[in-house]
Amino acid sequence: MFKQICKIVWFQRRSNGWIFLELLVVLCGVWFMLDNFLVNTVLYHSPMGVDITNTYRLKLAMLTPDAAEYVDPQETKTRPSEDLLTLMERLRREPEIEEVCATFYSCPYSSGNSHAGIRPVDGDTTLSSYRSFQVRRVTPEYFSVFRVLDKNGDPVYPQLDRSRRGTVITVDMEQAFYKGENGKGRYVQAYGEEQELPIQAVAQNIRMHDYQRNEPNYFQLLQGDIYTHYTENVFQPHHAELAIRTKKYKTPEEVNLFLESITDRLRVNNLYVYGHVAFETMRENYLRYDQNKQKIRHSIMAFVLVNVFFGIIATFWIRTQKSRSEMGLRVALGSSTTGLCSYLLLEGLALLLFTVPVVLLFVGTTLRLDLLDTHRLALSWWRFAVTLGSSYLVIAGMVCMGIFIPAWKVITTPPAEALHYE
Amino acid sequence: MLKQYFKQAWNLLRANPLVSSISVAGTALAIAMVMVSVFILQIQLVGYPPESNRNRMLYIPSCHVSSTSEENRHSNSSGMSAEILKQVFYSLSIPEAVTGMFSASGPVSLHGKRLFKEYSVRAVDHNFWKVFDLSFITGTPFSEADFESGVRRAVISRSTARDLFDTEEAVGRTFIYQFLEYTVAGVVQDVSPLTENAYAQLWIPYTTTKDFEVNRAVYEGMSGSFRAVILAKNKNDFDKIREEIQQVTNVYNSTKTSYAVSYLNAPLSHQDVVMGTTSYDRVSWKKYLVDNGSLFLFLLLVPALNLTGITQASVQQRKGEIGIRKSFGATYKVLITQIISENFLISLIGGMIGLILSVGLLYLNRSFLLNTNASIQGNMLFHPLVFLAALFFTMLLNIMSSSIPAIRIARLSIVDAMKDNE
Repeated sequence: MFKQICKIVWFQRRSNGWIFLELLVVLCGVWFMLDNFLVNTVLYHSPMGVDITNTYRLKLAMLTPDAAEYVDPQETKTRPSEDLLTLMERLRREPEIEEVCATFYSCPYSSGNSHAGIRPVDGDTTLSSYRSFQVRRVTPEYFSVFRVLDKNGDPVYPQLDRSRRGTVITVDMEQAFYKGENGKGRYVQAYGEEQELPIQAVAQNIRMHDYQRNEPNYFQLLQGDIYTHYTENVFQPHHAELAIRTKKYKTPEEVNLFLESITDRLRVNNLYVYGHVAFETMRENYLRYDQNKQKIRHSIMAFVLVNVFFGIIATFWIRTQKSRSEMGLRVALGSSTTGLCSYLLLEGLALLLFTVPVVLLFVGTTLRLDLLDTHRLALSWWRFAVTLGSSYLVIAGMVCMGIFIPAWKVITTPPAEALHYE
Repeated sequence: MLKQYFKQAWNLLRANPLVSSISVAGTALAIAMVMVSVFILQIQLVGYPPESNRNRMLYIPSCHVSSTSEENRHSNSSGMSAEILKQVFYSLSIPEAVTGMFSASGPVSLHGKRLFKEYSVRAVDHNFWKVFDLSFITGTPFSEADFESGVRRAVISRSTARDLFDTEEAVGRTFIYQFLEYTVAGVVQDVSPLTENAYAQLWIPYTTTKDFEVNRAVYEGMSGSFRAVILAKNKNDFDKIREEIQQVTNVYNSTKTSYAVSYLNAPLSHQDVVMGTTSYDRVSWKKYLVDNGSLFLFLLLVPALNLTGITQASVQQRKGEIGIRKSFGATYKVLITQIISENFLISLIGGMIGLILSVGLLYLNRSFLLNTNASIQGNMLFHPLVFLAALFFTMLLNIMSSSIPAIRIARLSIVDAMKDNE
């Protein structure tokens, strides 16, 4: 039967040529787009390492000398870094707030991307010189606000020793430094620092972006003199990203009302809270560019698929109309309607099958030219199986629908009428 | 003759409704996709209030400050300082107007009530109202005298007025921004975020606080937060303006000891900006046409391939008729004209539907196509050129999809055509 179908396809090669060419182009395009879609989907659903539900960023600013409430810095009794701590403490006392932390270009979706040199003191000897890794500068409460867990699934925050300096590294960094051994309790040294810092906890990997894979990174815990140094000498208190976790979800209007109700507590000398944004909103804004790009890509894919569907349905409609007499003859000679229908379907699917070698050649070429995104997701058999399988399933479904509708109309024509065309 | 062809085409359309509707739908979809791209380009390129004079505008989005010392070579790119605005750009004689501005955002409060809802704010000068044609509902813009003496008078949008004061009649009312009191001078119609050089919800003079002017004025007072927009009297003055900027900048640089300012690719025309040119990266016409032309070609090629298949199949059905027309003396040229003209009717119907569809698609998908949920007004979309573009792409698609089948059938010998040979 297959041989016969091949013969039919060959005899109708002129009109089949267009469909074949179209199927080929579309299959290659759909596979490439599905591969990109798979990579994005896998990454999007991988853990980010932070829990941003019910978390909000409070925006800080300093009063300018033109403002009536401006306090001359010479007249204040507290240092700017202390003002920030006072503000945090006041917020922490609010019954609706669970925890408060401050970070410098290090909170989720802040686009902060500071890197600094660090080396293990007693780990991989090949890493005895400093290597640059992403560093997040946070007060210890960061781990409570964003509910960061360690590699065993336990909260990191209770493991931190607030009385001494230390650091937290991520699982990827532990792997880079200690190759599968436990990193907690061992020491690292930051570039330019004399003091060796104990690793107080190993946190789960924390990603910067929902569509990017994890990279090794570590935390500089801002407490004591380190906090003062960074808040006053490196940054300014109003550069801090003040993050709060509320006990329950609040809409932007509810946060407005909440802040309005505590206005008098939101200014310490010249430092004041002027606005807020939910981390969920920051995430939406952060991902918008990528998501818009994906939507445009998906629209183009849908456009192409609809076109192919139109092409298949119209061509097979004309063809089956042309062979009405042959169908009538077959039905008159005892062919069943389902048998005849599957015969036509097989003809279309055979056409699809013939694209396999060329599509595989295309896949091979993209691999050779390194056009696939292998940085974000490693190549694997399952990746090819899912993307190629889905591409063929989608197109096969369309081919079947495109053939079935016209074929069924012709097949169900009474044989006498169909034979009339003969 | 053409009338005869159209009559025949109309009858053919009615004879095979399914195939005809698919051809029309395929064309409509292709034209809709192409026209969505044309509309996006038009919204970015063509002028409409408050940026009616886009074709006469030049933008200087940033400045590049580099050290003049041979030993310590370093540079910085950022906005420009108020000093550069005043000494270089305000002193230009060729342009009609020059405005300097920077954007910010922050909450606006009322007397006795601190609020936390944030608004887009643009700190501008008095020339802003000459360069951009915002539509005033009540009141006037702040005057040159207000600007020079730093009087805190602001212009707010209709929605901001309603938000803050529950009425559009807000002239004379006061509000607090960054702990400073402002009086409303005028209320304007809401500005679309699509006009991104003019967009804000609140416009204030940048002289109202010294902080704005000295804000980040580093590198010998050259770097800052400002950008400039120049309105030329005539598009042909662009080169002369560029030359004048260079001359004035040279004089300005000669007053400095350690640094010199330049503007890299700027001033940029609106067309440069739409093509993707920035201060740092110039997009040539060739690159732009290759990038965007390939998208247009793809959007036309896929449906053309599909429509070719359909036309090919339906023309093959009429081989007998073509054979008879040939035997009665129809020439090769006549037959090709006939088939392309007949097909044009389908393309024309599809093109018209596609144009309507494109407006709907653009409106429904504006959040990811234009990165905004702002309403799209008729004056942004409908220009005579749009209809010409739609007609051009419809004809192009028609020629792409029907010329090959037309040539193939017209080339058949009379005997082959009458015998119905493939």
